[in-house]
Amino acid sequence: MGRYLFKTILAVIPTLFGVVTIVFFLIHLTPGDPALAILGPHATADSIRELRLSLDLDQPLYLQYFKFMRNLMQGDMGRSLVTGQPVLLETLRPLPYTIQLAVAGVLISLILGIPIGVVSAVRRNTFLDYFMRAASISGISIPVFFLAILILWVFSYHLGWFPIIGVGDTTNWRSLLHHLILPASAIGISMAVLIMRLTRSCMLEVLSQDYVRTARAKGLAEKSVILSHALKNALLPIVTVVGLYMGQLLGGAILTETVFARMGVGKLLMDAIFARDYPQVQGTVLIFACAVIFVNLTVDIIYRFLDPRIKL
Amino acid sequence: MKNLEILKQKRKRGIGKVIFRFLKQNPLALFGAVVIVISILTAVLVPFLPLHDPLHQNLPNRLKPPSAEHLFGTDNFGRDVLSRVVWGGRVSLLVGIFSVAIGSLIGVTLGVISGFFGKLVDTVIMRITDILLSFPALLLAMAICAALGSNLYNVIIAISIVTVPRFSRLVRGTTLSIKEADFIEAARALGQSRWKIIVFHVLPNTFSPILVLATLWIPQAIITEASLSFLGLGIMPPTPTWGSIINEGKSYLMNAPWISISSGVVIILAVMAFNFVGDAVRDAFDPRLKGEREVGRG
Repeated sequence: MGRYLFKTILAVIPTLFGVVTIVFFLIHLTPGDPALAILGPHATADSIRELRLSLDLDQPLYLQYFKFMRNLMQGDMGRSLVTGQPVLLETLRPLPYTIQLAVAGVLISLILGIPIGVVSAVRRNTFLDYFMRAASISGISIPVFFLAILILWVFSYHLGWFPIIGVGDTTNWRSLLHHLILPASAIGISMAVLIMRLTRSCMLEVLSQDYVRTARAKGLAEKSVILSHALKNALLPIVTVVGLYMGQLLGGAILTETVFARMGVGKLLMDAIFARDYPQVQGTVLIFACAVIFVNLTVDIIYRFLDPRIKL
Repeated sequence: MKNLEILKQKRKRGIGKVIFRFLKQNPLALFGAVVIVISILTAVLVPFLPLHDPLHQNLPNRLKPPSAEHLFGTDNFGRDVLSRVVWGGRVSLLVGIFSVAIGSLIGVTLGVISGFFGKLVDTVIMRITDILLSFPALLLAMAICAALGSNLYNVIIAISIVTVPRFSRLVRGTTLSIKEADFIEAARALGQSRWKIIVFHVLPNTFSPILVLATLWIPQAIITEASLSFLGLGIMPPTPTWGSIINEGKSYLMNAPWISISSGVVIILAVMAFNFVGDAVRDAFDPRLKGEREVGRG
């Protein structure tokens, strides 16, 4: 077990290293002079020189890279050009709101996706199954940001049930929840469609297994066969795939945060891009990408714990 | 299985007849194909269609609801939304199809080289592939657009880069399994060069999974382009694209919902059409690819 953990975690290091390198060069290979881009066309030569010095832009690229790596090892990602605060701090501040959104989105997608998938598999080739499959293929084709706009339009503008923008009063959990429901639903529904398809196909596979036939043969109630014998085994691949959707989930979070003008890491990234705050863009992209890698790693480890067939 | 039988008849019949029979057996794919053909024809012929100028502003006529004169209404500058959506489709489809074409070309080349030659080349290419795959697709495209600047070419470059690792990983796997086949051994025994073997024996056999992945990636590329334009990182206004029309309409949801909604519905239709065709092609060619879209969506 320890050996497995050690090996898996060690294998992530080159990937992390590669991600950091790609992000660094992507940001630093920006065509034109970044200092000029940041300060705009009316900047004086002095202010441009000053900014170039403070960003180390006067040094050769490989030296900038080594310095960046050295600082990164110490947890220093530079300072935001807009606020002057450390990039890491700026990113951690809105992080809880993005995590709230992501977790609520995943919960909604599981609550919707798994039961619908199970019903669709059990009632295979009935009208209900066809209906749900048609709904799922339509659902896959709806971009998450458009779904968010539709939800906003119906539930906030027309029905007035929910607030239109923001995260709400941060000291009051009712207000937070009230502001969370719509954006989380947008993410949740777009993921539920995928989870429903996956649950259906996993359930179909499991339902044809011998042990399900045995369970039926010994006279167990159908409900118990489906829930405790079939679903339990079908859940395993679902866990993995939810982990694989992390990237999509974060992409969805960036888009939904923009639609609902919600505080969050996605909105921070967008603001930083438009303000040409390069250190902040670099740091946020890095943190996003690393978060995805770590979640995938965790899911991989959990999967091995859950499945006794995989020897550790 | 039925689909496979039909496709197997390819050698006996003309390709046109095979496609026709395939579509006849799959009503959803037929619907999808019809929608795709209509959208592509519209996109190509749009300069000749009797539409308003998508950029012509008419401020007294702003935010007018759909009418006989303006079927999809007008936007905040009094521009005709229908013609903006149609012209936007030209850009969105172009980006979707071209970026998948470029990305798959590079990805396939890298994948074949990686799988066929193995060793150090394989390790290097697959390492880079893994790293690129660990980025969320939208985030990588956003970062590339933010760094290169927003215009049509950079959006195509960004989405192509996101597409490359998906194809190289798939083709590497297929190449590895084909490499061991007897007919490759035979070609080698006949003294054919390695590049000849790759071009004439390996590549034709990787064609069907590539086709499947490409049909399923075009809708992803369209969604990614729409997302980038929606965020304001894609193609810049006033050029209309589906995503940017939704973005512009977002501020007028209360009194002019038709701006965002007409464009959104068109995106859904187009993406759905490609998905229907992609699903049918996948079922016909390679049922093993079933999970590919789920994982690749981003």
